[in-house]
Amino acid sequence: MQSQADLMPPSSASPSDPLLRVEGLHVSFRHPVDPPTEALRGIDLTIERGEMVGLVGESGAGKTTLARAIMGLVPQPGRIDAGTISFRGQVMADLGDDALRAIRGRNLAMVIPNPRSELNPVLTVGEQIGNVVRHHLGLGRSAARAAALDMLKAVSIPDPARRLDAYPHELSGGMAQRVVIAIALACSPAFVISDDATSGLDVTVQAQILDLLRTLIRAKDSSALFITRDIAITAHFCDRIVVLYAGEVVEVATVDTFFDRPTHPYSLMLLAAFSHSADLRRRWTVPPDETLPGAGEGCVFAPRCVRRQPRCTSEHPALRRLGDARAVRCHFPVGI
Amino acid sequence: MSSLLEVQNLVKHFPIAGSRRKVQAINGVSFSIERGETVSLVGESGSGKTTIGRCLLGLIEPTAGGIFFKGQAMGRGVDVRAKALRGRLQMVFQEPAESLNPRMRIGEILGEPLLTLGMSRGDRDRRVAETAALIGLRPALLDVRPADLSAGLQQRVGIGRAIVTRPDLIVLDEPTSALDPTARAEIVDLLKALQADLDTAYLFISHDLSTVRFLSHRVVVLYLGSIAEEGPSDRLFAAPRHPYSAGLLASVMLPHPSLKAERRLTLEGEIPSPIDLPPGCPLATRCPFTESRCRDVSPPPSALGGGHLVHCYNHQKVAALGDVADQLTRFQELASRILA
Repeated sequence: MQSQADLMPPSSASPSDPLLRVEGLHVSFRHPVDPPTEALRGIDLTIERGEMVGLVGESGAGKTTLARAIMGLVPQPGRIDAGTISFRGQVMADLGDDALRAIRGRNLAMVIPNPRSELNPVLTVGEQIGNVVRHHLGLGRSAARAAALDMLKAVSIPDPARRLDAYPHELSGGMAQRVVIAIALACSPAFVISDDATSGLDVTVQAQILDLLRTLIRAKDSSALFITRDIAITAHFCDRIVVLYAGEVVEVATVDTFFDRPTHPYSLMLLAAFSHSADLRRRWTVPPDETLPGAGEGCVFAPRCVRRQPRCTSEHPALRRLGDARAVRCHFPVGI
Repeated sequence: MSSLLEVQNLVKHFPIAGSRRKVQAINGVSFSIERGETVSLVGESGSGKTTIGRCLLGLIEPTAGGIFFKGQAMGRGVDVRAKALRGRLQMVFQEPAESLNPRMRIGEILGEPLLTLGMSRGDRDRRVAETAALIGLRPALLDVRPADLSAGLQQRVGIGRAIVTRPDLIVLDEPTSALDPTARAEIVDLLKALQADLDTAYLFISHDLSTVRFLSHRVVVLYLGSIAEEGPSDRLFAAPRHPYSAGLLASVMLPHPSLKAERRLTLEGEIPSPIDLPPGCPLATRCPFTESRCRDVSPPPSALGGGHLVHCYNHQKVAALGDVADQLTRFQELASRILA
């Protein structure tokens, strides 16, 4: 039987292409009366093969919108206004719906939080994992069941043979999250997006799930984008970190350089928020009543920036390369 | 003088409809809170943290055990609604947006708890203005509605509504977990500043250990409705002696790659169902040190000095693993260097 993956147009990818490249991506949400909300404003991002990249930012920064845009699933009334997303050198927008569906789930997978709302309540765990491999890999019923069992073992679910026939409501939160991971990784996708996949779990379970996710991604030589509000997760599970603020990338660096020498004032503010030292926080945080009303023409972070100068409110900074794989969007980066 | 709040052998079981089984949410918990003190209840979901908070406020009736507020027994009609206790005990909820009436103006929300206290209109307005200043709310914001405020400001209002009656004790149920890190830090600062000003005691319910570390005087670690360990915050974080606390602390992630938690002790699996618990130590299904007596009889507390109590037969084995460095304190040092 021919799998859907074989129906894809021949790839023009060359080995030098990154696995994923996002260039100048603009996404906005239209409203009936109000002007559109610009969720993403010119995102540039590349992810190499075998790389784990952390995407951090506060709620509303555009993290989930970016993940959905990569998956080709920008929800209504959002739309991509400009920019391209290419996967293995191939521009996603050039692919038809069928080809996109074949990639999604097979080569591109997403793990989302709230596993209970993600899983189908009327299908057993085995059927839900099996459906993915049957559809994408063309496996028969019994082979799919065997593959589902292997995945349940891989995600360390106790008593996997019995759980195969369990329904989602019979699972605990951590167990359901493991099943969602099993579904996402069942086809050994080349690229996995984890959208805050562990935020609803207890800390001891969260550590187990993150370890598991990393081990499985590494074992399959896949790449991953780890989206999180919790910058601490990126310090321990990622190679590189991308900081998003109000729909723009404001800093990119390897994890080691970032946590030792953050350069964007927003990055420093984020780190200071963890420090439990009021002095450190005051140094990097503008008091609520001194923030400016809007960004206007200038830097999107200027209203909350402790280092803002007149130039920051009049001129929008570009994302500047600083060497050793880092870049910052700031006129006056720290320590540079 | 008695403690501000004393909880003695609290038990709360919820019956399951159509069955003789019951959810054993709290199984004999005792602790106390002194005036002006912050005690944190930590533990994972299902550990009984929220149920304890609700019992204290009389929102649910305990199955057994006693709660004494300023020496007075609570329960059987004596709760936060009783005249003598009105406004003395307050609560702050997890979801600020959901706990504020969307149709009321912020000024009305802040003033509402004063209505039952028999204060005059003028006194109430003065108290609301004073409270707004304490929580760092511009007077203009008293006229807006909750939806016009950010989550961080909404939670400030939630706290303002609690302190407006100048209570002796506030139960804070996960007040920061719905917030971004920056907003969370501001709320923690605010809580500390308010305590310094007003000498209010807090019962802080949270699973965010890093906040607990720097906000509390004492910490009570709960597991499946029982106390695993309790003690002064700095001691407990530097030298946890219960396998569960040690495993919990090892799971904390801090934002620096060098602060790898040393996993000398790993807890397998997840918290089991609290329905019809077996006898013995609740951690016996996940603990690396489990032996037969752990499954038979719950371990009694062992006093380690300085108010540090651990409920484990094998706490010396945990001690023998050596103390993991207090990662939270190490991060403080790193942060002051990096952010200087």
